Amino acid sequence: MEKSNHTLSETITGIPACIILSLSAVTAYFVAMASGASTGAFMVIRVIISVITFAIAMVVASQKRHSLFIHCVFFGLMCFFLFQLWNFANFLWIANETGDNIVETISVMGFNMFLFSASFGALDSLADDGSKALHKYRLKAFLLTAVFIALFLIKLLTGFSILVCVYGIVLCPLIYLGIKHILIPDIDSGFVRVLRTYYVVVLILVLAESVEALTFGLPGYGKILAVLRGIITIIAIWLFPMAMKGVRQWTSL
Amino acid sequence: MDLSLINIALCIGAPFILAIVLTDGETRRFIVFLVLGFACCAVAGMANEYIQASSGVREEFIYSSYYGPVVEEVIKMMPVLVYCLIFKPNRKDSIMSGMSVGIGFGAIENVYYIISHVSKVTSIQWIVARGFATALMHALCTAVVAYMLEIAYRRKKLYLPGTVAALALAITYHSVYNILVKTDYKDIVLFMPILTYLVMLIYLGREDKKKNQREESYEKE
Repeated sequence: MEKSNHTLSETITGIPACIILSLSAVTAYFVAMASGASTGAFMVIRVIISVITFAIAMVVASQKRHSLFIHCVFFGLMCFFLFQLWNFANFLWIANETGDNIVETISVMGFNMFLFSASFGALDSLADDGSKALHKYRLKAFLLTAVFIALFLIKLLTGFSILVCVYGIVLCPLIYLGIKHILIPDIDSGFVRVLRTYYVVVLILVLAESVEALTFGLPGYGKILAVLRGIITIIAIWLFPMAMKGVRQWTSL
Repeated sequence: MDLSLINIALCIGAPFILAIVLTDGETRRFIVFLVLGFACCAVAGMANEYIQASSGVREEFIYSSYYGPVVEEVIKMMPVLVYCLIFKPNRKDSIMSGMSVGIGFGAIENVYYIISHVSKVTSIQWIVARGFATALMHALCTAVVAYMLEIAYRRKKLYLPGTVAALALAITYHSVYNILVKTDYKDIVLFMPILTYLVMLIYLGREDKKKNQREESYEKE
């Protein structure tokens, strides 16, 4: 039973499964765009993708005891799925998609905070021992993150939405950790190397979210939002599988 | 200011406060958090009234979808946050404390709604909705927050991100429920908290089973 569960979890979180799901999502999005579908149709696609993503994570997470890292990623995906559901419900029964709403901002912040907790709480102390030798990597990561902090602060000072700016600044610790954990060399445990793919996924996700926040209110924001949110939803497909892959490789070291 | 919620919380809470003295252990803890849940409901009612008046949001549906969940989940989280921070309880105690606060909150809210909407109380659908869905939703949201706070507070550096993340999850779930329950699909949506509750029970049951299996294997060694 353990063996068949192990095979099932490897299958549904494997790269072929992710590719199939991603391609299906991209196809659905292109078909919707080509047929001139309404905003609601894109939201339905995103809800379906996030349901499948979350269901895969739930099946795998329920099979055996997992680390704090996997737990946090799992709850992050739960938050992400609820966010998509909320977005759709809000669009249908209250208002159009705006991107400037307290519950929307809080739910996406929650998703990112879970991913931050996964990296900061479980992995950062293993990757970064605080030594001076790793100082240059911390500095590079900080300087790149500082660009985003500066952009959001400038936006805030020029009268941008406070909610969106706060959300953008809250994303920055995750950007910092993502960049640091990609640049930093392995100290001795080998797990940084195996989790690099996961961090690449996290970084692309967070950068897409930052662009979404920075372009808020620009002309054509509705279309930009639909595209960016589609990208974010498709990238989120890869989060849990890459996290599991990294953990499997790490535990086999 | 409408003092009905405070009156209800006090009238119902008073016998429970007296019962605290007569109980001990888990029962006492359950009653303490239940009473705290009553108090949270009264405080949340006043906070909601004040915020709704000062924000100028007149439509109840908009307020209960956007702002109400934020206010209520933050207030419900407070007793659990203090408990987890100071007492560092185990997972089961932490979830039970969260659930008790949510049950207390939901109970007072139900009494308030019965008094305010007397004509609707004759509808079985309304009774089931308030009793088994909305109150359960409150309990589940706080239970999930408590569960996550227990995990987060085992590591000091996760205090802030863990708290924000747990709260965000509860707020989003609460808001989704509040939106969907006012639509034409409310009969289906009522099952949302019940399904979540069953999944939680299965998950906790499995965790207990795995823990027992681990303990047995340690004993054998």
